[in-house]
Amino acid sequence: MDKRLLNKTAFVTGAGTGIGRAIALLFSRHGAHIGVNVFESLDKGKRTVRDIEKLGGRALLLPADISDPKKVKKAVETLAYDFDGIDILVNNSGIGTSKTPDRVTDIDPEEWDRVLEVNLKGAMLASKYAIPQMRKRGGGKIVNIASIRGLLGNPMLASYCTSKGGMVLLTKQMAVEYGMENIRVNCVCPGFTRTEMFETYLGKQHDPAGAEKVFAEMAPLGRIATPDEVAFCALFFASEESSFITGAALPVDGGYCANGIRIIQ
Amino acid sequence: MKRFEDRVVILTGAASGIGKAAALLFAEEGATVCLLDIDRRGIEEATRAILDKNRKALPFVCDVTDERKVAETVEQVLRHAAGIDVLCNNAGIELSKSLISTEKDEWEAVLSVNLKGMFLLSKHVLPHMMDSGGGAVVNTSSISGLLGWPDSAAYCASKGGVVQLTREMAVEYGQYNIRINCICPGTTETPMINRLLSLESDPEETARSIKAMHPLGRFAQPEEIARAMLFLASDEASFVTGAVLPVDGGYTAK
Repeated sequence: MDKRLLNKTAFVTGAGTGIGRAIALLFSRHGAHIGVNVFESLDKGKRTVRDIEKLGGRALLLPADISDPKKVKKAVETLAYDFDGIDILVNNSGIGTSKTPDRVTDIDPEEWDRVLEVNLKGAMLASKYAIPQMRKRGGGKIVNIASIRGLLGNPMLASYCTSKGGMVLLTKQMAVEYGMENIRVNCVCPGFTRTEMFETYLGKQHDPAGAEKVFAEMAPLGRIATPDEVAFCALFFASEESSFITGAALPVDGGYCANGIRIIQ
Repeated sequence: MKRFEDRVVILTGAASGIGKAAALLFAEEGATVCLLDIDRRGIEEATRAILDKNRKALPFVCDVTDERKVAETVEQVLRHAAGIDVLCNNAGIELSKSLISTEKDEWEAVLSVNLKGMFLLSKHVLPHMMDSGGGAVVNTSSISGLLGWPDSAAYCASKGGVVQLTREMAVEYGQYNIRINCICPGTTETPMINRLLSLESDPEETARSIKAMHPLGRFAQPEEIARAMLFLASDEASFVTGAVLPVDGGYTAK
C-alpha cells in the first residue's frame, strides 16, 4: 500500500475511542505521525498510542480538555515541537448530554454550554493554534468530524445538533478564510456509526435491539457504518486525493440524507 | 495504490478533459477501463496511452443519448469482461445561452447528453450490478447543478437534474449494495473551459477574476476532479451514497 500521508504530522482530538481512534490508526498506517489527544480517558489514549507503535508508527499522547485554550495551545505546540510541525488537524472530540435530556425545555443550561464547548469551541481552539503551525509548512488540512445531526434536526439532540451544525458552518467559514494560504478545511458528517457513543445512545432507547434495526434501515444501504468507513473519508480529505476540495460537508451516512422517506425516530 | 484491480469501469465522455484524466487514473489503479465517447479519435488516443503503460482499456464509440447504441455497448462490454463494477456518467456538453435565446433543439441536446445519457447508461448497467452483488456509480454534475448562473439555462437545468437523479438512484438501489454519488466540479482547465474563455473579450482578465472567486484562488486540473471520482467509486467510500460532493476549490462554501 502506498502511504498517502508519509511523514506528515496529524493532531487527532478524541482519539481514544471510536472514529477518532480509527482515524489515528489509519493515518498512522499511511505514514503520518500522530498526536493522540484525549481528555480524561488516559488509558484509552495510551492504548491508541501503543497500537500505533506496535504497527511501527510514531505517536504522542497529548491529554487536554479541548475546550481549555491554554491546554489546547500547549498540546498543539508540544506536538509541533516534538514532531517538527503540524500538517493535519482532525477535530473529532464530541460529546452529548449525560445528565439532562437534550431538548430545549429540559436541558440544564450548563450542560448545553459543555456540549457546545467541547464540540464547537474545541474545534475552533485546536484550529486557532494549529493554523499558525500549518502556515509555517506552507499549507495544511483540517478535517472536522461533524454529523448528519449537523445537517438535519432530530428530537432529543438540541445541543448536539446545534454544535454539529455550527461545525459544518465553521468548516465553510474557515475554508473561505484560509483557502488562499493553501489550508483546506472539510468536514465529514457520519450517520449511525458503531462507536461507544452509539452504543450508549442505543442503551438509552426503549428497545435497543429494535432501535438498532430501525436506525440501520433508515439508511438506504440498510446498515450501520464502521468507524473505519468514516476514517477512510477523513483520509481522503487529509490527503492530496482531495486537492481541489475545500469547504465541503460530506455525509457518510449510507444515503440517509438523500432519502425522502424520513421518520421521526 | 491499486483500488481497482480486477474491476471493470465504464466511463462516458472519456475522450477529453475530466473523463480522459479519470480513465488514465482508473487504469493506473488496475481497472479495465471501457472508454465511451462519440469522439473516436479521442478515445483511441486515450486507449493507446493506457495500453502503452501495460494497463487495460477498451474504446467504444457510443452516443449516450441513443438507447439502442447504449444497450449494444453494455452488451459488448460484457462480452469482454466478467461484469461491471463502476459506472462513471461523465459525458456532458455545455451551452452558454439565456433561456429566451435557447432554441428548443439546443435545450433538448443539452438535456439529452447531460441527463438522458446518464439515465440510459444507468438503466442498462444497474441490472448487471444488481445481479453481481453491487457496484458504484459516480455522476458528473457541476457547481452549475447547485447555483444559478446567467446564460446557462439548459446547462444548469441538466446539472441540477444530475444531482437529484443521483439522490433518487441512491435511495432506490442502496438495498442492492449499489452506491450512487455525484461530484460538482468547479472551474477546471479543460477544452470546454478554454473554449468558453476564448469567447471573452479579455480571456486572461476573465480567467483571473474567476480564479479569485474560488477560495483556493485557482482553477482545478482535470486530475484533481478525477481523483474525487476515484474516491467515490472505490471501496474507501463504502458508506457514502447519495452524496453531492463539490470539488470546487471552496466556491460553493461562500
